[in-house]
Amino acid sequence: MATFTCHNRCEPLCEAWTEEQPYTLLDLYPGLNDEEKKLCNADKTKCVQAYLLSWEAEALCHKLYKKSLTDDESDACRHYIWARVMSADINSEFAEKVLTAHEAEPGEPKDQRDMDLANNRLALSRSATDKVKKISKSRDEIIEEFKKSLKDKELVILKDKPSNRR
Amino acid sequence: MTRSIKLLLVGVICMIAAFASAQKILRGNILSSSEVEKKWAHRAFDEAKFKKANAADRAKMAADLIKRNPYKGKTSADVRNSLGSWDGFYHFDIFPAYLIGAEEESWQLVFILDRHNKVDQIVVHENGTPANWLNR
Repeated sequence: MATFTCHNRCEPLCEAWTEEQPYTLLDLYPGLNDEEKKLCNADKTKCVQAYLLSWEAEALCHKLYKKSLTDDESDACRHYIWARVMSADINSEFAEKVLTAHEAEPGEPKDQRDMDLANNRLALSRSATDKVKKISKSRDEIIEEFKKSLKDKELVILKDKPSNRR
Repeated sequence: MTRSIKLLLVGVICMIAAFASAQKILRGNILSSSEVEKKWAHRAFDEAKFKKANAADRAKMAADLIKRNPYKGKTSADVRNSLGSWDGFYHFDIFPAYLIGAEEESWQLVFILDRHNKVDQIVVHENGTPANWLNR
C-alpha cells in the first residue's frame, strides 16, 4: 500500500466501499427516498426499469393532460398508469414494493399520500385480476381503463382542475 | 501539432454538446436566469408573499429566488414548510415544483435536489418536457 501516492488516506478511501457503495450509481440520481434506495440496493436492474417506466407513465398521461400537476387527475393518472405498466412489464409484487417505498417521502401530507396509495391500490388490484385471467393489456387499453375509472369516480382526486384536460 | 489541437478542440466541443444534450434529456426545457428576468417583472423574493401568491405573482419573484437561493442545503420537507405544498411536478413527487406564469403557460420553479436530497439549485423548467423524449 505504501507504493500508492494516497497511502496516507487509505482509511477514508477504503471506508467509501462499505455498505453505502452498492447503490452508488442509483444514489447519483436524486429523487429517491431512503426506502426506495434500500429497495434499489436489493435489485438494481428492476429498479432502473421501474423508474424508467415512471417516465413513460408521465409521458402517457401527457396525452390526456396539458401539465403534470399534483393532487389532480394528472397525478392520479401517473400513479395508476405507473402501477399498471410496472405490474405488466416487471411483476405486481415488485410494483407494490416500489409504490409503497415511493410514498415513504418524509413530510408528505397525509391526504396526498392517501390519494396516491388509493390510486396505486386500484391499479394493482386490476393487475391482479388480469394476472388471474391471463390478460395482457396494451398501453392504449390501460389509458382507456384509466379514463373509465375516472368517469366511474373510482379514483381519489384531491383537486378538480378540468382546465388541465386536453 | 496544429492538427492535434484541432482534434482536441473538436473533442472538447463534442463533449460539451453531449453533456448539454444529456442535461436537456434529463431536465427538459430550462430558462436561463437572464431569460427569467426578461420574461417576468423583477420583484424581491418574499417567503410569506410567495406562499400566498398565485402563479402569476410567483413568477415575478422567480429571478430573485433563483439568484439568491435561500433554500440551498434544505430538504423538500423544509421547502414545503416554508412555501406550502407544490402544485407542479418534476420527475418524482419529492422535487418541490411550483407553477409560475400565466394559466396557459407551463413554467414551474423546480428545486433541484442533490444526491442527498438537499436543494442544490432552483431552475425555471417547462412542465412535462423531461419525459416526452421517450415517446419520440
